[in-house]
Formats: sequence, C-alpha cells, structure tokens
Amino acid sequence: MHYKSRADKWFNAFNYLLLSIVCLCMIFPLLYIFSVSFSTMQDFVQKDIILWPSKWDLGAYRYIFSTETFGRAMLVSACLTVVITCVNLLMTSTMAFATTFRFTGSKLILRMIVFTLLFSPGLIPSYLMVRNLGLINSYWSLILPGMISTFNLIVIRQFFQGLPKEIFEAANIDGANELQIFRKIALPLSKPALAAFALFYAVDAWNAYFNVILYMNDTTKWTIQVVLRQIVIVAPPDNNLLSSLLREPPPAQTVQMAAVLIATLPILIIYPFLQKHFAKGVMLGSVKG
Amino acid sequence: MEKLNKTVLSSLTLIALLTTAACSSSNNGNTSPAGNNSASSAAPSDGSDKKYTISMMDMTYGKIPPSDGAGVKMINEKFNVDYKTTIVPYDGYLEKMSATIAGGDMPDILGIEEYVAAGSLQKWADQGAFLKLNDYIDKYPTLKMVPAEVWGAVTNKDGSIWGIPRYYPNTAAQNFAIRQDWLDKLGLKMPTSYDELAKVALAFTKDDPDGNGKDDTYGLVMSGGGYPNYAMGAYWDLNSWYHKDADGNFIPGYIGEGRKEAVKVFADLYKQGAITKGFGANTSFEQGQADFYNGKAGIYITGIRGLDENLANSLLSVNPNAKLSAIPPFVAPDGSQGFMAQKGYYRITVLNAKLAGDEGKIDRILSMIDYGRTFVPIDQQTPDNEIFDFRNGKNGVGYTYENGVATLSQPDQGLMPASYLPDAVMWAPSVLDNKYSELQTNPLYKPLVKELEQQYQDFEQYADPSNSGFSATLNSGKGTDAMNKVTDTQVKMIMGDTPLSDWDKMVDEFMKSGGSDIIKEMNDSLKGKELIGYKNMSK
Repeated sequence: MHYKSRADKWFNAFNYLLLSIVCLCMIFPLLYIFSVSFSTMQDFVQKDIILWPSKWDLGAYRYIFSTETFGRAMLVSACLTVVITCVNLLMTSTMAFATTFRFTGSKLILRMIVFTLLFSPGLIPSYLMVRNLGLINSYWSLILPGMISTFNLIVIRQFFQGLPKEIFEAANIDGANELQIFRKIALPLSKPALAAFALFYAVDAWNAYFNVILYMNDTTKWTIQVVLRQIVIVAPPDNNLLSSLLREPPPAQTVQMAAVLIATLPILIIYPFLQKHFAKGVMLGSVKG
Repeated sequence: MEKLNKTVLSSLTLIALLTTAACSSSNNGNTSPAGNNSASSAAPSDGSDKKYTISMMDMTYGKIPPSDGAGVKMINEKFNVDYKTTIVPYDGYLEKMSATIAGGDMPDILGIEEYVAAGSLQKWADQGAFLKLNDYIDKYPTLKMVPAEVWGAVTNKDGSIWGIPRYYPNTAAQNFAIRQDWLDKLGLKMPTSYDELAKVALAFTKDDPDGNGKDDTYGLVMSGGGYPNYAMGAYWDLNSWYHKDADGNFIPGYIGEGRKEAVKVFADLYKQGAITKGFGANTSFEQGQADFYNGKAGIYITGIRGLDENLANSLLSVNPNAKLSAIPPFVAPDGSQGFMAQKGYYRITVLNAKLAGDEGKIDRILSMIDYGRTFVPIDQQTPDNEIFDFRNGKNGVGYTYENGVATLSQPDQGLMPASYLPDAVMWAPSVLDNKYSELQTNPLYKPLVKELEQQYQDFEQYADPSNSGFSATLNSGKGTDAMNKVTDTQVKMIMGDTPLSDWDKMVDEFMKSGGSDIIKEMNDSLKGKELIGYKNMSK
C-alpha cells in the first residue's frame, strides 16, 4: 500500500467534495424535472421548489400519451435513430477502412474528404440537392445527406490505421478477401470506437430538429424534438389582438416537464451502456493515430 | 496486395460516381421531376367549378395544426380546392423560407414575418419572386380597406404591390398615462408642453401627491435604454423619421431636434430626482412598471389595448382612489400635434409570381384570403354568423358557444379552418371598430381607454415614412450597433454621465458608423412614394 500523507488525504477529501458538488449540479435539474412532472399543478404553483413530489400525480403523463401526436413522434424518432445510427456507422466505417489503403488516387480522395471538412456547401445547395433527388417530405431526406460525418470518418480511419498491420497481412495470406478482413477482423477489433460513434450518431439523430423543419412538410412525420418544442415553447397569447388564432393557454408546467423527461429518457438509458466504450474508444482512436 | 487495391479502388470509384451523380443532379435546377408538388399547376381556368390545388406555407408562434386536420377538409369543400398547407414553427422558418424560394419551390401562398425575413424580404420582392397585385386590390373588399400608407410598405420602387399586409391596429405606438388623482390633489392641470410636464413631474416628486407624509414618490418611470421615451408627439419620437436634414432628407428621430429637446428635459428632471433612480441601460422594464403600479410614480406608458388587468388591480389595492388619464399630444414647435401611429400591419401574405396569367386560380386564392380577413363585429361573433361559425370550425365541433362566450378548440386539433386560412386576422374597417373600451372591464382602465379612443378621433396620427421605405444597413448588425450606441449615449446624457454638449459628437459618430448610409438608403427608397404624414386614423 502507498503511504498516504496528510496532503494526500486533504487532496482526496477536496476531490470528493468538488466532484460531489459538480455531480449535484448535474443531478439537481433532472431531479427537479422529474419531480415536477409527477406533481400536481397546485403544488407547483404553491411551492417555491419541488425536489420530491409530496403527492404523486400522473396527470401530465396521461395528457401527453392521450395525444396521438406525442406517441407517434416518439416512434418516428426512435425508428429514425436506429436506422440513422446503423446506416451511418456502416457507411462511415466502410469508407474509413477503404481509405486506409494506398492505391492510385487515394491521396486525391483523402484530400477531397478533408475539403468537405473545411468548406461546407451551405443551406441552399443542400436543400436543392435533397429537393432534386425528390426526397422532400420523405424520411430519406433525414438519412441520406448525413450518412457520413467527415470528422467521425477521419477519427475512425485513424483508429483503423492504429490496428497492427500484421493481423491483416496474416489474414490476407490465409486467403481472406478485403470484405472478410473488414468484417471478421477490423470491425470486431474496433468495437469501442464504433460504440462511441454510435452514441454520437444516435444523439444527433435523436436531437434532429432543423432538418426536420426544413425537409418535412407533413406534420405527421415530425420527430420528437419538433413536437417537444410545441409543448414546451408556445408563445404567450396576445388576447387583445382580435385574432382567434392566438388565443390558447400555455401548457401546464407539469406537462412541459413530463414531455422533456420522456424525450430525454432514451438517451439517458443508452448512455450508461455505451459510456464505458465512449471514454476508451475516442481516446484510443485519436491518440494512437 | 494487388487484388486488394483493385477492389478498394473500384468500390471507391463507385462511391465517387454516386456522389458526382448526386451533385450534378442538384446543379441543373429544374430537370428533377420529383419534390415539386404543386407550385406549377398551370392549366388555364375556364370556370369557377374547376378544382385547384393550392399550396400554402406559413409560420406560427403557437401550436401547429396537423396537415390533414378537419379544418382543411372544410376549406376544400367550401372553396372547391385541394388545399395543401405547411405550417412551421418560427425557429427555422427563415431558413426554410429562403431555401424554398431559392430552390424555386415556393408555394402558391407564402406567409412572411418581416422581422424573421429582415433584409431578404426586400431582395426577393425586388427580384420579382412575388405576384404583382395592383390590379386585384379593388375587387376584394378587405383589400380595398387597407389604407394607402400600409400599401406603401409592400410596394416596390416601380410601383408594384407585392404583398398583402395582415391587420394590426394602427394605434399610437406609445400613449402615456398620468395619475389624475395626484393632479387633482395637488391642484395641477393636465400638462400641455414639456415645461408643464416637467413641473408636474417635479411636483409629483416633491409635494407628496399620495399624502402619506413620506418622500417616496416621483414623476416619470424610466427603465433600461431610456424606455419609454415620453415622446408627446411624432416630433419628439425617436423612432419616427419626422425631421429632415439641411438637404431635405428624412433623418431618424434619434438624432432629430425633438429628441434633443426631450433629452434635455429628462436630464434636468433626472438631476432633480423626478425620474426612476439609476435606470441605466439594463434595468428591466418590469422594474419600472412595478413602480408605477405600486403607486410610487405618477406618469407611465400605456395603450389602448394589451393592458394587464393584474397590474391595474395591484395599483387599486395600494391606492383605491387611483385614477388614470391619458396625456394628449403636445403642440410641437412646428405647429404639428399628434402621436406617431404604428405600422398598421403585422406579417405579410405573398403569392407566387408563377401564378401570373392563371386568373382563375389567383381569384380563388384571393377569395380565400378575403374571406379570412372579413371583419365580424364583436356583437356578431356568434354561431349565427356564417363567417364566424365557419372560420372557427362550426359550433359544437371547432368551438363551443355558451352564455355568449365562444370557447375555441386548440389549434393542434386541426378543427378550425382559421388555423389554416392564409390570413385569418380580421381587417377592422377602423381601429375604433375593435371596441376596445367595451371589451375593457377593469375600473381603472375603462375610462382611460375611452379617453384614448376619444383622442384617437380628436387628433391626427403621424404615419412614419420609414414604414414605407427600406434600408439594408439599418437591417444589418452594423445598423443595429449604430442605433444602440446612440441610445446608450442618450441614456448617459439623461443620467448626467455625458454632457449634453456632446450631442453633435454623438451625431457625427452615428453618421460615420453607418448612419449616413442608413439615411441615404432610406431616402432613396422613399423617392416616388406617396407619403401620408398626419392623418386621422379613426376614419
């Protein structure tokens, strides 16, 4: 055992204290959202702060799931997230693997890839491309244009390059072709990196808002974030302007909190499972390259 | 490794080819068959029984109705159309709008919010993206009702009207309320000039108007940025382009003679403690508001509508005898008298320029717009009124009518045609038709609103020329910075941190940091436009 000096002990105590405070800062808002979502509206109005509901009330959740919109949007988002994550991982990893080889023109292709990292085409060309491919109002508009994130591609490529070449050469001698090498050797070896990027892609897909507004005209195809905005941020009514359109009560806070909680939950649930890879994976890829 | 390289190369070539294919198809704009749903259904019309496909895109600050709601079906039946709507929340609307316009995908009807669209709007209008409407206006009653100065805002330099403004009351931009009970107690008259206003404000500060024996009251409420500006007429209003420079160009009120005079008065009042202490640049306006409605201050901003009943009740709970009067506009040195009017519209509906020539479809669209804008007086807003009943989705379905009150359903249920109509804001023939004083029930506000309505008939209001003009610089960050700097300096002048003698220096700096461009652009854009000036808006 190491001898612990007085300074060490103080340092440890201080560390624990600091981390506990940071931890509380993170947990507190979530706990607050959780508790408010299960509280009654009266409690919310009367009490300054609610850290634990005194009376449990499922009204907010009942309201949310009674509207067809919310459930449908959750389903849309969930399916999209799964599909986008799988497609993106597949495309990114195959492209990354292919670019690790040297062949005629490989340098040019790499430069073209880096070029897209520095110069983005901008909104209108992207919109025109999606439109001219006939993807407006189709879920493909959310899947196809973002299949490969250039930055992720480069990091995964670095990771592949860091794998020992001898393994690939041995497999090659044993008669495996490139696809087999990729599938049976490269991919299993890079699980941590893939897990990390799966999380990146999944969070992005789950949070999709802007592209949905831009490409999807049909409200029934909207994702959870767009619907969530509807529930959480609705402009306060100007009831003196004689427009019937603007007359609507803002949603109850408990409903807002419940909606936020439900929409955050999936990411909160996936996170712990991927987190162990997450810390290791990204570091490995970038440091060794 | 030869074999390996070949496979990789061929697969990469394939990827590259696919990518180029995608790119090139994006470059030759109009060849793509898909994705363009209804912007160009160009068959000529030969009768009103023809069914048209009409697409509409708009944004909302509120809840979004589903694209296939019952309201849409009602509209389809009534107008014999196949109506396709895209209603988008305001975050991201500008981008969506820009992309669809630039992509040639503009729907038949597009709703535009001026603040969101900012500088782009004028560019699109100048480039002819929107249908010219001059020949249609006289055919539709609610379009005919739009006053000339409001049309001016949606008219190009070449005289073509490119948009339909939506109704917003053109009441004075700012009115001011004074504690009538304090005036009475101190035996003072309603002020009619800045001198008298200053005297009243000082008396409110020093002569204990609430009679509690404590020195706890003051004259004017002022909060962050020097708001409200207590412009007792367009002459003093910092937002109106009332004054002209030596060359005859309109200049913004910020740097005009009237504002200079007002700042001088405020600086003196501030020194004597008659204006909210330390209001500075950042104090929230709620803080100032609280002072007035807690009986601490005697003069504050008010209006003919949008008054908060809770505030009135809080004042009545502190001072049950409180009585508010509206200060009438002062006579300006040039003899004018009247507040600056608001723009008189908010948001614009435009039609796609590609509709030109398809008279049947244009007529169908404009009829829908006109129907949505038709004014229904308050006392006729019952299920018996066909327009009211239809717009709100029929009694018992889209709304319920009980004891004389209509309770509307939520827009996201999609039951009300009003949620989908291109423009469902009723155009009131005169602002007084909105009957604000009848709707107002609060004992503190009701007489005040009545007074304001009377003022509205007695005094003319100034239609600000800048509402009809446009300056790109003003709509840019540079213009905002220049304006903010002027406001900051003026706040400092009122608070005594900067001497009033720095006024010319402030104007010079404004001119150098974009002000001269703003003035030039604005005046250029106003050339050839008919400017109204003062006008009785109640008629």
